[in-house]
Amino acid sequence: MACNRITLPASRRDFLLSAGSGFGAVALSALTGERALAATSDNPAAAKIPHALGRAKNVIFLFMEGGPSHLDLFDPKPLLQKLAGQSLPDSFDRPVTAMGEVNSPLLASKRKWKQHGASGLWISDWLPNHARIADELCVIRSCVSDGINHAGGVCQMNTGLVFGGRPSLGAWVSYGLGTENESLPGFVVIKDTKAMVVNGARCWGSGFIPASFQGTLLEPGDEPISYLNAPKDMSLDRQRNKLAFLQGLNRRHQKNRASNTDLEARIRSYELAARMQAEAPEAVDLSKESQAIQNLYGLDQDETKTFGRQCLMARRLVERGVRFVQLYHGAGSKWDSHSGMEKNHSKLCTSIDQPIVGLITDLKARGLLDETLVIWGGEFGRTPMSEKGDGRDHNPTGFTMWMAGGGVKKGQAVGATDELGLFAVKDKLHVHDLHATILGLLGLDHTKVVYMHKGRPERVDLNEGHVSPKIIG
Amino acid sequence: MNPLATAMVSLTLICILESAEREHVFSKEDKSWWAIQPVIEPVVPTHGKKWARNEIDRFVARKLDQAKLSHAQTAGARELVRRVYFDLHGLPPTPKQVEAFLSAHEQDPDEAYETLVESLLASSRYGERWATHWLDVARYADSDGYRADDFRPGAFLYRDYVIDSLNHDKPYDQFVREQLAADEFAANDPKILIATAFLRHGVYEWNQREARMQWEIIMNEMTKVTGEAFLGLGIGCAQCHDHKFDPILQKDYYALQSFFSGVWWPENRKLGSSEDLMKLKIWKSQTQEIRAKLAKIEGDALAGKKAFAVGQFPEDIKAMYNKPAAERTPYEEQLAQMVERQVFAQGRKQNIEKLLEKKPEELTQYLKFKKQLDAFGSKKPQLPDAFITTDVGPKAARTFMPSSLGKTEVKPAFLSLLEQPVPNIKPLSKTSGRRSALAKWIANKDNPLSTRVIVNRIWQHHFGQGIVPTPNDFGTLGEPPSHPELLDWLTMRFVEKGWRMKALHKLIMTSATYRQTTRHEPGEREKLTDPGNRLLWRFSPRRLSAEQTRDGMLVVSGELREKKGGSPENADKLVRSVYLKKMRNSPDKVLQSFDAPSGFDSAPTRLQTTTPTQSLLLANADWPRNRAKSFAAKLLGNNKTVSQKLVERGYLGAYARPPTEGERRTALDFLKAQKVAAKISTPQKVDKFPDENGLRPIARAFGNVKGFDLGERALWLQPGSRFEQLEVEDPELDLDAFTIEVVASLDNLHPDASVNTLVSNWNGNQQTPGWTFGVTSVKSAYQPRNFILQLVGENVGGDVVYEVVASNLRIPTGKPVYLAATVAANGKGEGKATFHFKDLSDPYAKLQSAEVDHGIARRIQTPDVRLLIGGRDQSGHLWDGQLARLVISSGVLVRDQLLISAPKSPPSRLIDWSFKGQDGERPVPNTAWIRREKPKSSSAPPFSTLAAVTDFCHALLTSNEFLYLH
Repeated sequence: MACNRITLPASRRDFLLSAGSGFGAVALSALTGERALAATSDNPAAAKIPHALGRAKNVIFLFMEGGPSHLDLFDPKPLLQKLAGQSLPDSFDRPVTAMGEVNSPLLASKRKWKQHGASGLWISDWLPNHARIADELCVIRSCVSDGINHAGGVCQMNTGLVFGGRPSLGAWVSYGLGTENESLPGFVVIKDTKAMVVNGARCWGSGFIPASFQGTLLEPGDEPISYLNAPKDMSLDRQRNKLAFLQGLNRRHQKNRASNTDLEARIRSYELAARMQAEAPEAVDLSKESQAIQNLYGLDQDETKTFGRQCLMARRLVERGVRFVQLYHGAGSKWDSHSGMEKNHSKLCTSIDQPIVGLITDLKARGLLDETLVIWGGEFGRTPMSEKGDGRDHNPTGFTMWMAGGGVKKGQAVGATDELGLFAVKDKLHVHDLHATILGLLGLDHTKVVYMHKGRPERVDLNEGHVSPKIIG
Repeated sequence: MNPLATAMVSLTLICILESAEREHVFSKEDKSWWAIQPVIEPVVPTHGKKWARNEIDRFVARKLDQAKLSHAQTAGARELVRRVYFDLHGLPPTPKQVEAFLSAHEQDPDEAYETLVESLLASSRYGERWATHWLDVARYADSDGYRADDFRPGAFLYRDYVIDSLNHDKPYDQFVREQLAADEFAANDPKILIATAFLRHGVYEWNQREARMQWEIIMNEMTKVTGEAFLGLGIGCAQCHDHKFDPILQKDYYALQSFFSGVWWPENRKLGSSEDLMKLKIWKSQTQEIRAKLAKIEGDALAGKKAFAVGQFPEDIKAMYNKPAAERTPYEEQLAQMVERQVFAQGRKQNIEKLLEKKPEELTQYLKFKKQLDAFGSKKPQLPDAFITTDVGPKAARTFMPSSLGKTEVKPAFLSLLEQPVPNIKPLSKTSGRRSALAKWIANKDNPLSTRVIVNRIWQHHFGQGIVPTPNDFGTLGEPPSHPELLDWLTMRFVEKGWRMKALHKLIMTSATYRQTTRHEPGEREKLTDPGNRLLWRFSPRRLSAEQTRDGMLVVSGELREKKGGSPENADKLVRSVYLKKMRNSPDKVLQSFDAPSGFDSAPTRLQTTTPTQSLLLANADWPRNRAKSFAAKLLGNNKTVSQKLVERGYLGAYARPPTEGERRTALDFLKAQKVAAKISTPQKVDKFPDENGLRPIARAFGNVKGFDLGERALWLQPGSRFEQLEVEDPELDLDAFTIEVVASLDNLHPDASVNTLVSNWNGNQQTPGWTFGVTSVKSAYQPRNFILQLVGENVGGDVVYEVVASNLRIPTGKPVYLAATVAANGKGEGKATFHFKDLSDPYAKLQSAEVDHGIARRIQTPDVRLLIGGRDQSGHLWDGQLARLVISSGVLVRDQLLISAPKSPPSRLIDWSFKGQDGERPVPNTAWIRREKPKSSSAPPFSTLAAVTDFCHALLTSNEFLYLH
């Protein structure tokens, strides 16, 4: 348990005196404005590997919730066109599918495919603007997950396990790297609609590690963070007086109790809360952006403005030192297309195409792309077999994600699925490997970002992940 | 009597070790693992002569002496009383309780203290507090914890079981046996059978088709939680390989799992006493025929849906499901049951009547049988769903250990390291007997793990940290005990006194170690040798837990509502936190913020985080602010001003101590300043509509309305303006039958359940006869936009009754509409109201009408209640919109006589209004706008005082002195 005390050696003893289990110290170091992980910290999570791996400092994870079809976006399969209408050939293993339509006829992709950029990456006509960023992408065609349903899939993509209860990737990253801006949360989540993400807030929860590392959901409107604003009937003067009186009570109480560092932490946390009140609204205020930038993200078009706003906000947050920004597109499984995929995906693809291109272009122009890892994908892909005639079922056994920036080897496709895009067959990248690789790109050794929990050294990858060398540039 | 005796489980000593088991040779080091050594009576040290109150202190003093540290002073009475109440009840002491203890303490401190501990242990508040500790370990929740996060209606009975067991000081060995195997020895006692829910609290995904994988996950979860909760073994590591750090073999993991390999979670079963179940049986036999007929129709109707549910599973699972039950192996039966659960869930979601819509004949039959069945309803006992665990049968499924070489079958056995005989388990008539065998081994006084584990947990909750700080892991990855001999000494006493927790609580709490103060700052020596206070040189300061924080605020504010078990409540109910509905995916905001675990797995310890989001919640969220408001109201009582006394009572309530002179002065200064600040910011009632005069040009809202003889203007009713309610002076209304007609518009609905009242003759008191004419709002129980009458009058029996007569005609907002209603009471109580509605913005709209019966017989008016336009004779329930025409006629008009039919000879009209002219202050003769004074009840303090005291209370409740036991 001692390993979990993230403390600065100079004051280690004092921190250990903190009340109860000593976790107050974690928050304190975050609250004092110091990096939780000084280079000399005795916390194993601090064990960075200089120069060995990536140099990314931030992550923007574009989560397409519901499972986009790799077969119609990034992974063309000529054999699928040929066998369309027939059953899956006997030479293929039968996976367990969510809706049990494993023997339904294969469904051809209606897309027009083209190679783009100097790298010649295949991208379908559902994402026409992506041609402009093809050379920035590292497309991973061999992703594998264990979750055949949305709940398990989304849970695993976020936390490593199909069951709830573990810390999310963003929480691990915040834990491993600490936060750079003390007035904003280190891990921020933004959804596209009011609909809730499958499993709710635990997708960005901190599981068994301290709550200070959990994601904060930014809501649209004038109160982006829960309880950020003073109640409406409370004048500024009144609120200020009250906090001053409260802090007076706390200071008086703290006298002769200095050994309990939790007390100081809470005093600081009130100050920090006040700073948040001032800074958070500015961070998400897009009116500060020029018209040209707004247009670049597609804010001028009805179809693209929602996700465009999310992408632009992500850039502003990353600029301000937020470590991990997760954007949900299609919150509540909107990418799920068991039937009528043509209509479903056409609309969703249009709504992300320009915003994503805008984000990558803008990050690059500002010199932020090198230190910002952008990840795109859903909880799984879709089956080559049809469902209800014109849809596709969930496919966790082989699907596509892509990464850009943050030191990934760009302009390439890694791994492969079989000839029908059903199973990953080459350079399989399980979610655990994906998580390990993301930590690697951030310069962290995933085997050393450890949290002791109930006697087990817990890691983001459940001790099973490997960094994929092909992805890291 | 030992309940196991009836379970016919016998453990015979078979000392044959199979060859495979000999392969692993444990090292000397493995065998010397402290936690598996037998618990032996240690020699009590002689240290701490002047200080020790009991043997605990001798052990503690020895360690302190060895480290050259010394103990802290005894805590003062006020510190102790707050600690003990929070520790045993999870609640702060009230000022009265503090006072009582203080005066007893003055007489005889030791006796007063012991009496206090004993009386708190005897109160049922104790069980409510300590249950939380066990519910954490048992990963208890009221929902599935998957995407659907379905509510588990029967789970709360387990929570009550835990509370009751603790309050009755049930021996822990019995508590263990019941949770692991009550179905094998107490199947007929619902209060004990529910204990087996322990094996069922894990998360569950209701629509997982990968049945094999899901079952594997369930079995692993059960194994893991059992290892952690009862044995303190982080055994999960050994699922895939021999434990890398502890001498636990992969085989041991599967041997433990095989004790559970017969289990099954019954789905469609009720929990009740033998008597209740017998009644159910009688009901079943009486209704057998009807139910068979119903089942046939339902079965046919649901066939498609059921086939769909089954069809989604892989072929091999379908085959298991489709086999006759008798031919299934136990494992196949378990998987078939997983399918059956989904089939059942699929069926439960369907509305049979809807499915039968296209088969009118069957629907008629169905409804007929249903009615017949309903006739037996009173004979059917209402019993909760049985959220329990049992076995599929006497035969358990086989358990296999996977490895690179393939699968090896594993039989029930205990840790290899312990070299204990393999249990010889005899199956019972309905179950495998395996879990009883496991329970017998765990709940055995010679088991070195289970006994130490529970003693350590109790110590942990008293001191904030266990003697072993990792209560779910006594292995080498956990931390070693700080006082191993003390742990053994306590364990001996615990077992010796019949595994009773209350005796152990008392033993611990009466020690000098427990009675030390927290107010002892570390010197260089403490900082150097024991900064974490494992040697207990003082009582460790702690923050209140989530439940203590929430419940504590409720006690101080005086709002805590009594609840004794039963269905869980929503978060807005002011009951103790242990009784709140614990939904895994949407935890209560306050509890979550203060680190309550979400229930996904066994949580032996709580984190204690301090985050800015927590501070935002404390400062700005409604929940703590509302507690402060109630606390303030309680402190103020009938006083209109603040006083020293008020400050004193505030401190006593929140901190269990009076303020110092300096604190009192600071608080009074703050209250004074805050009163001024609140006064300045008091929302002055500004006239938001200075140019309005109560009348608007008719064209604004009614420009396209033809007919109705509208005037040039419409009456403008605007809540918050000077034009809210118009009083009709000296109306003469026919008392028994009349008709109201209006041409009006409604611009906004109330966000709550208030009624948008256009015309009324009622003061809102349900005992005062009267009536209103209006439309329901957003949160109405009658659905929003419902055109209604509210009637209060005498029924046939002469009692004054209140009735809402709802037309179910939905009124649009922002549009000109015609509304009419006739009201008639008839002496027999068979009254009738007729409603008419037409959307006047739509040229194609038709007049919609509805007739609704009501039971008011007579007297629906009270002479001195005013007839009002725009609201009722009280505050609230206003109409936000315009009125262009109002006609009230005597008698019940028929359709041809209504305004909308433009009758040639209209009936006599009591009121006949349209509006013209400019004088909005008096839009029609004999009327006047009501300008209500702010309701100023003489006893209420002024707003600014209340605001200042609320802020004072808010600061107290969110301050560190309240939130910490330090």
